[in-house]
Amino acid sequence: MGFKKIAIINNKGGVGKSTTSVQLAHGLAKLNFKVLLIDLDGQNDSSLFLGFTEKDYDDTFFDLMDSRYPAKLEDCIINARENLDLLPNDNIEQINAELHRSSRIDIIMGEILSDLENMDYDFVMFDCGPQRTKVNDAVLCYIDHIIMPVQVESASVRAVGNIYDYLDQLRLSSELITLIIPNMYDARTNESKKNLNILKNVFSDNPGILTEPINRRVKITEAGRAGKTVFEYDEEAADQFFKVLKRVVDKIV
Amino acid sequence: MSKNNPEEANDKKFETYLEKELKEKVEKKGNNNSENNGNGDGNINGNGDSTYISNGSVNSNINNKSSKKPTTFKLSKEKKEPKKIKRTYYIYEEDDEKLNELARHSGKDKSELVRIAIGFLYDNAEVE
Repeated sequence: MGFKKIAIINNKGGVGKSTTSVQLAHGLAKLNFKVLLIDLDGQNDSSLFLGFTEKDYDDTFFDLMDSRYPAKLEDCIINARENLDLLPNDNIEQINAELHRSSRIDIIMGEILSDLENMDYDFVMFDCGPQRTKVNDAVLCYIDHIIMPVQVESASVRAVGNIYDYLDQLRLSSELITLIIPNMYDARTNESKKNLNILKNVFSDNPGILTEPINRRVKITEAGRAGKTVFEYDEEAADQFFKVLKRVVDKIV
Repeated sequence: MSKNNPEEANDKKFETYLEKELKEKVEKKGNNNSENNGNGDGNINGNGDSTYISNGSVNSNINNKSSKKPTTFKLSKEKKEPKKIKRTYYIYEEDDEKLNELARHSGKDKSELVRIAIGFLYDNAEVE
């Protein structure tokens, strides 16, 4: 069975990429899809938000890249929840260094993850780091869809165009951008409202790309800190992501 | 936590969504796929990135553009050769899809299938 490949990416840091990755991955898993979340952010936040630390895993993404004795993909994957597996990383700098040596960044991720073809995942999701790196180049050349969380504040909104430049640089289509999620929205502030309106104006020709905003909630942060997803932690916080999850299903499933 | 059992409450929402909206949606998409062009590619949305068609043998799918019936052979589950070396060669997208499809059907990895293909070609091709 084929699987959908999704990158959660934004070239700006702190916009909620890992939070979004974890919540959507677990949400899809709860909808009975089999999901693999690949943590390729140097901070390992996806793994942490799912309750895993470095002590919990030995083999990681980097071990798949060993040219002499590559690890088996199945040995690097850990089961995080029902229907949800996690492929952690612990050495993003070295992964980048290895990828710098690759002459074909456009196919390298497919080669590293070739065993996925024989697994039964419905979704493979990448939690990407913020910078333009070789890892992100390789991910973007591999995936079918981009979901981009954007913090609803002026610097993040101004930076939305960066991903389009990035894709252009890689000679990839901007149509990969499937959903943009206004994140950490605070309806009480004029600043937030103003920035949300800017986003709506920017995408007025393609309103379907923009989801409803995810409101800033302390419970979302608390859940991550507790190693739980919002669906395990709080009903109202879960509702924030449930509405976005439905959009993911509508657009991608 | 804000409520007594938020996980249970959230699970009920998932169940409701699964039972009503998602089931209906997937069924609808499934019907559309079979009505449109029979391109049941095994992907959830039916318009994914492979050309897998779940209607029989591997060869009938791969060679459906050709009227001439190709030589067929069975893929056994024999053990892989232990010694391997890594090489990078170029391959057309269409052939890559065929390889993916063969891998799915046979349960063999793609390197193994390439090995079989090369062996077959080596044994059967006449080089001028």
